[in-house]
Amino acid sequence: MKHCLLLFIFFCLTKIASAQLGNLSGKVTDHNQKPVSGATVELKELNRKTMTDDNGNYEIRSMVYGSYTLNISSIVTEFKSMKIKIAGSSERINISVKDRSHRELDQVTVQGKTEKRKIETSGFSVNVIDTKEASLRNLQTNELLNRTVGVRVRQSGGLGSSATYNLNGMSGRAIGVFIDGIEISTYGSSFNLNNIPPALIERIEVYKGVLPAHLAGDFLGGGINVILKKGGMRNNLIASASYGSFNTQQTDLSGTYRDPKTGLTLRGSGFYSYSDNDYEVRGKFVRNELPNGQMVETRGKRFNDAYKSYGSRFELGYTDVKWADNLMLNYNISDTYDEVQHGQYMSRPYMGRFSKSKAQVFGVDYRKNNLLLEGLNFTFNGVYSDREQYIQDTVSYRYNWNGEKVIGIRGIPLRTLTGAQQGAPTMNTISRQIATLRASLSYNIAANHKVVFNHMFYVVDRQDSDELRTVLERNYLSTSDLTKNVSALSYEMEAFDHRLRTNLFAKYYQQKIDRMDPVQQVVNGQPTRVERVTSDNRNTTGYGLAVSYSLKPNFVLIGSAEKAVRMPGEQEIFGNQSDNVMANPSIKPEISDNLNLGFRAGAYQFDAHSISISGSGFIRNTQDKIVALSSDRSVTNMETTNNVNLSGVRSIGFEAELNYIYRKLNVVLNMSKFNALLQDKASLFDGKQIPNEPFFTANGNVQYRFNNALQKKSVLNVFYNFGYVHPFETIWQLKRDEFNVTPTQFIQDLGASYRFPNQKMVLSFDAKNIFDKEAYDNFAAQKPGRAFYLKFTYNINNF
Amino acid sequence: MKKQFLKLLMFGAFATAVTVTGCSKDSETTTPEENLGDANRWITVSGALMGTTPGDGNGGTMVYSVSVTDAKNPDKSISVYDNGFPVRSQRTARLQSSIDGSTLFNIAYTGPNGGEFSKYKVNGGASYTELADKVNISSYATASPRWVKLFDNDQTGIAVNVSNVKITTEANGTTYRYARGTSTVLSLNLQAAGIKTYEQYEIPLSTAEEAQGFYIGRLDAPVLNKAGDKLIIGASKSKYNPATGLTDNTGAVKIGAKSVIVDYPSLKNPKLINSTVSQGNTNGYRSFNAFLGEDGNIYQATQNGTAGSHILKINQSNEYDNSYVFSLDAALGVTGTYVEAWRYAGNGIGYAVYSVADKGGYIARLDLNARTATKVAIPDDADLSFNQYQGFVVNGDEVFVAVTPVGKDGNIYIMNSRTGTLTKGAKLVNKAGNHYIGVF
Repeated sequence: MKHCLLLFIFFCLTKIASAQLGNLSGKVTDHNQKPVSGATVELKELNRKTMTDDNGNYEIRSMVYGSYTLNISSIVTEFKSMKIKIAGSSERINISVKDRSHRELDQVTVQGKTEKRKIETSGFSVNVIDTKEASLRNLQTNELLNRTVGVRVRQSGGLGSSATYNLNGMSGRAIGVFIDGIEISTYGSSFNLNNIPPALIERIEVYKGVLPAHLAGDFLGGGINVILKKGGMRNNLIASASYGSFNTQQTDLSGTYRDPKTGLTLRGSGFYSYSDNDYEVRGKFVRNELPNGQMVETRGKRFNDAYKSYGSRFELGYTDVKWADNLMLNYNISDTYDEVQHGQYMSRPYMGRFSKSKAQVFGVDYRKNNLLLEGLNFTFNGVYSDREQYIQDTVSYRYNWNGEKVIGIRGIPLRTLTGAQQGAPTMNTISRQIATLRASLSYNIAANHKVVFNHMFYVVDRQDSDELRTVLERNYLSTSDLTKNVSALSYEMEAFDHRLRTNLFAKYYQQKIDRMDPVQQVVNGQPTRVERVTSDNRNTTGYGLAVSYSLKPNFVLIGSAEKAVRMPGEQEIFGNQSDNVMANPSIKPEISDNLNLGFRAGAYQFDAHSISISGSGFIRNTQDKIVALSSDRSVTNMETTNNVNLSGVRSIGFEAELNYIYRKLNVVLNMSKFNALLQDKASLFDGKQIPNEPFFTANGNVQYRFNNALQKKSVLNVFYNFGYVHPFETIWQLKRDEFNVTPTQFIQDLGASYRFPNQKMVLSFDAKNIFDKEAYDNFAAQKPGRAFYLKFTYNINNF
Repeated sequence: MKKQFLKLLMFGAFATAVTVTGCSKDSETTTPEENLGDANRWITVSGALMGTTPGDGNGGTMVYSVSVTDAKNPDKSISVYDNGFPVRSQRTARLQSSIDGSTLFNIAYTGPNGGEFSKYKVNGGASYTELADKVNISSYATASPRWVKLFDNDQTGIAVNVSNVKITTEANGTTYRYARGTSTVLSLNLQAAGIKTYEQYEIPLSTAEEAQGFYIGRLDAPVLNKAGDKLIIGASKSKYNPATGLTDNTGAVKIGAKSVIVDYPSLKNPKLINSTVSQGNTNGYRSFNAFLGEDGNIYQATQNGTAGSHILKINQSNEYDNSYVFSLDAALGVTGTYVEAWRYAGNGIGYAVYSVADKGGYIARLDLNARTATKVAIPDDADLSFNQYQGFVVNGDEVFVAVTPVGKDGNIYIMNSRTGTLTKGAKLVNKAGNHYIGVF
């Protein structure tokens, strides 16, 4: 199967389309001859869209000669439709449109709005996060996600600390995280949402529950797809540097160059982040130990939590040439150093435990619309990555929150019982080689009917090596390879004058694990190491439907349903000797029925007021949930764990978002509340909320803009943000014990950004957690208190 | 606030009064007359909440206390799950109680406060007052220590642990030599919460046993000898496959049952003693496993032996008496007995809760002198299991035990160790997936 696919891809890459093609460009102006920016220009027959730039210019490339309908729409102008004809290689058509009202042009919201709206009304339960504003401010990508409705980022500390994502009550392996549609694990832990600055991101799509076919993978709870900046058609260079509390330094640089004659395109970006993360922690979990074992509450600065990360990405290729809309070769390199301050709980601070990871990733992207025949679009991504992760933990002294050695009852420093800070001493290197290939072919069967076929192939090969293990143990550790194939076929239809959009899809999951267990056998009278290979092959199917219906132009109903699948992982099937996890070869995939129903209304205009509202409800019904069970009465009294299928969990909830704009004021409020209830008739907790998951959160952002504030033509934006997390229980309990409940969290931030009159420089200042409230994320793991950051961004366009 | 404090003081005074009367009564009744113990004490019932599967008890522990009269009254109903007080622990709490039932001692097992020793004053019903003096022993005995109190009038608790088990090879790096861990023994002052002392050592098995891959995997259930100068600590053996250095859980080969002896109160000079009677482990599970009899010998139960559970005898020279053979399989006429927990009741009589071939839950009355066992006539139930059972109350001649099949209602039963009679006590109201795990 995969060989056929590769052959096909090769065939496609070498074939060059032979039809005559022309380019269309022009300028959109209003009745005052002023350019209209952000207007959508659409070639109706080809379903191809573009947006006008700040000067009103648009460009659509590589169209077959012929007659077309051109539609121009914008929030500030009246809709216009016109017939055009492409007969030459470069047609220029300027368009004049009527103003809708006398609103100022600068009130039109940001670029990318139409792409955002297009995705958000595609039928899937999806939010699109625009990173344009955030890229100029002192915001991390994870912070931006955390402010999104229904998304909870659970991070155990400051900058760089490991993060997990919770989408409306689903988390862990149920959530897929992608970069440009490729699973993020391919890039390794040194290139993740912790260190990719918003400046390098075009937008983030957050799918809840139902994933569209092109994001193929076995995920139950949805996914986060990060679209990296492609730089557009213009040459540009953006550089920024920021400095703030806890010695936090971040810089990034990105640039694009395109030769208009040949289409040769060069892009490069790089980042560097560093933080001491030495913020103060306090509260009931921060205690120092006296020599007689008594515990006293204390305050302490984190002392083993520094984080350093740098990386860069280079791309070289051709854009908008006859034989490719996009052909880019890319190379990523990244490196991270991360100190670990504590384990799951803050009870005991660590000294000297750290991890280092590095990754080199090679990739190729190819995209060609109207390949061979009109309406046949082809894309291909291939990524190969070589990742290495090293964990070291060799310090055997115990430390307290003052960063000093703990003195024991005999007056001498105490050593840990295990010989290291967290478990046994380790100097472990894990190497992984991962290849991901993804190809997509779509064909417009007729106007408004499209079929898309997607295939994803994933293979990972992993080796572990711990310097501190004996050669004997290392010789007999098992190794395994994992191969995944996910095929998806979807059918997209638009009807009733684009008011109804449907997307019907089916997915086929196949997973194969080869595991090599070395065993000792007597061969010719000699005990010999023999490699025993076992293989596990399994497959399953899922399917779904996404529908959106536009009752009125500004009122859209959205619904989606899917039977989603998560295949059991390598450790869940084969176990892991070193962690005493037993094998369970008969474990079944986890299946979830996901249902979403919602609406998007607006924007409604009342004079200068504009309001848009969206809301949705959801049900997720998970069966055969995979959980780890401990069995501590086996023959040798060794505590062991194995993974089994349990009855399920049902999540029911809703989320809502309100956006209000009045002249220069922009307010966004959102909230999400759900019940994730255990479905297990045999359990006392049947029908009770799953603990350790925040289930009620709310966020608010207020932004106000001052034009010409200090200097003429300058822009000053001020921001206010709050985040609320309702207290939640951290373990199963029949009676509420406040010790096992996180406190109410209400964190407020302030910020301002100033754009200088030359439009090239932006200076921004952020004060986070201004009232220095205790903020927790993972249970009892405290996040930074009050902190200040300053950032400078320099931007050059069209050089 | 002030009022509450006053109330607390009054409760304290009341509890002290109860304690004093209890003690005086104890010393009075040394006659061979029927001994009904302390009629004014509290009986605390504990129930384990399920974690992920019914009966696993990993969801924490609830407690509720009643009077002795109520505990004996079959018309009374107790529901710890509806009315009880949650004892702080991520998984099942490791509870112990004072002799008079007025104080509960707990060491939290795992979680953010794992290894924390705390005390609760028993006030009746769901009222428990957590006392301020706390001590964390996790630096010495991990966040999941195994501990019991000594029978020294509630003065001392002993926590034990084995950690950091490492394989050592010959210089070539590929020939297995042995695996050893660090054993910790720690004594805890129960009265004024604080660590008394601790010792850590490697305890090697014999060279032959080590070459087979065996090592001491767990310690638990320490008991003080008659002279008060030695602690006898139960041990379990784990095994690696010396050919591959991987865990060997097959149980195909077994070696003799062992205990660790250390000096008391210094906790120094660890030494292993070896039984030829049983190949089981002697560490029990989450409660006492060995008791000092009036005859000066220590009686210790085994688990996971090749022929069911045995009761072993350790004499006053602190050595196994291999001439004493008491096989529960033989005494009960079944195969595969497994003592989940047991309690010595005095005068050579003990009560054991056990399973047979990993199934069921039964109680047997043991006569340690005659080496006989008789099944106690509690109702048979397929869902009854005493796995994780922790607590019996011995009040005079009477032994209180909580009997609930997983997810079903049950009762407190009162067994008279002198007469052998069985009485049904208060009803224990249960919930799906849960079981009661002790009376304290």
